[in-house]
Amino acid sequence: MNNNIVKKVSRKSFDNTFKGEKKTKIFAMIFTLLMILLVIFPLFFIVNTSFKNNQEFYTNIFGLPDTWRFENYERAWVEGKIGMFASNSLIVTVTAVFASVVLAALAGYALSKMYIPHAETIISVLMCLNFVPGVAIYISLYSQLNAFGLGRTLWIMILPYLAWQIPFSTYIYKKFYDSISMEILEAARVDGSNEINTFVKIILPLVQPATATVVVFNFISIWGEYLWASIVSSASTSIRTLPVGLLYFRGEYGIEWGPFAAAICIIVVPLVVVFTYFQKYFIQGLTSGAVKG
Amino acid sequence: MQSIGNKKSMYRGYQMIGYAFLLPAIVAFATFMAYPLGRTVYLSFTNWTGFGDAKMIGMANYVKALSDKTLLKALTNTSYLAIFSSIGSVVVGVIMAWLNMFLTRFVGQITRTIMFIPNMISPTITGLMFLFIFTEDVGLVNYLLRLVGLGNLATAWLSNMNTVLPVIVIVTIWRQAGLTMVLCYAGLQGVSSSLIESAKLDGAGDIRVFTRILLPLIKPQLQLSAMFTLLGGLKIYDSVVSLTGGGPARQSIVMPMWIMENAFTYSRFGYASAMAVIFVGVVFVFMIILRLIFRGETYEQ
Repeated sequence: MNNNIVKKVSRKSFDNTFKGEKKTKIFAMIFTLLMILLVIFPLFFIVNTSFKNNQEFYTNIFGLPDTWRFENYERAWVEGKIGMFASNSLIVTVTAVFASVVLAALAGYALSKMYIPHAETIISVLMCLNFVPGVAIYISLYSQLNAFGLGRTLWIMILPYLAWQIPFSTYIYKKFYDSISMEILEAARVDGSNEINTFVKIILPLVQPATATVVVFNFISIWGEYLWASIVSSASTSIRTLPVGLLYFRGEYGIEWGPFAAAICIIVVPLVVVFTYFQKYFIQGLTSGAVKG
Repeated sequence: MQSIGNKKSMYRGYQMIGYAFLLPAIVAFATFMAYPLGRTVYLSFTNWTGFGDAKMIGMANYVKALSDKTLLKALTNTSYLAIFSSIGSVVVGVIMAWLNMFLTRFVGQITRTIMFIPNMISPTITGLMFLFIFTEDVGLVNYLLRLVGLGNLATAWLSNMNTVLPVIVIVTIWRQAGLTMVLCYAGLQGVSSSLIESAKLDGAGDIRVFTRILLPLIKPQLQLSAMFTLLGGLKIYDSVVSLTGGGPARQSIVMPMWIMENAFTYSRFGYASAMAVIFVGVVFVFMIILRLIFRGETYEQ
């Protein structure tokens, strides 16, 4: 009898909404609404400002623009050279993300399934070094890379970025490989499939959530990286990425809010659109990968 | 059936392939992370200026650091920002995650998506966006304060010594709360609803269920959230640069800023390296403290 009730109740709340008390529900709605407004408002404000000219910005700060002007976008793109910075950012980010995913996918596999001694120690050391703040690395790395002649090329960003993403990416991959049973692998090996074939055809498809997680995580961190980019591009404006370029854009004009807001929109909107789509996989991978251990 | 000897050599074969798989990652990591870090430690004992040879000067840089008032300020600020933005992000995130379970599935999904947006925006840009909001003359906060008749509370938020750090904390929480929320939400989803219902049948209210059952059960996710946000706070640099540039009068200077300034502006690479080593030590102390706080059993369901 009693058991039946519990069963019924728990089935009802299966879709993970609690059968909360009324006041909790009301509080939940109000508080959530408030937080959503807090998150959205700054974004809305920027988008709104990007359509106003200078005069309108000062006379009508918070209202909607009276006409939708796109001249700020034009100015940001042309005068602010947002186009050039964007292409730098894109080249650096895509290359570094791709390379880091390949290296981490291989390394994680080796540490999980290839009988490498002290694999756990290796991954722990990597993760520990991952805590090291970047600035401790940058100050000696910069002179070193300059000596190698990487000074004014995008490689000075691509190579370090891909390397810095390796510990966490490898860690995520390893967690996922660990959950694949050895039997699948052994079956493939007995069938005479060579190791690279097994890896590409059988293993990689099984860890797609890990790949999604690593891609998104690395993309966000590399795309937004500022400190290293600002160091290495101080000598050469042609390799500036978006975060660095945007700060200079602000400097050139004093602060001219309209074009400035337009520049921000150009950078932010595509990213938000793309990652809202990927978000589900990303979170799935991040939580299952990182929490399991 | 393979003989044991055969099997052993088979393992060895896989091991060799394994090393080949591992090698590129290790090489990249060693070249761009481990080696430069080692070199920084070495430089911290020298008076290197960025050019020419480095001369060993023993512990002199570290001794100098002991009496560096700006270093102390930067360390205090960095710790302040890390601690409060981490606590704030985790608290807001976990409460939002919990409340999310009282909403309908659709509304909950939308809420999580929206809350996660700030996380995708780079910190530099977040900082710039909030310049609009906290700026003195045309900023939103002051406008709203005047609107509700609290105009005397309006201030230059970013150049007022008392408000600049809390403002940076708020901006950081704005950025990070979405991440802690989705992490905690994933944890809450793993809690079986029968457990909650039986607690309710025993007369526990929603809040009691939250504090006594849910929070202990999602301890791993809480720890992960705390770690992410604490590390984020300790490394904070970009948003401070774009918000305040370290001002007013270095009141909001953070560790990476002071280290960079010494290295690249004053060419004191040796001294900057010593401060970087100290900073690394501080980060590890924070990580150890975090581990101690979350020590103890995790509850299995």
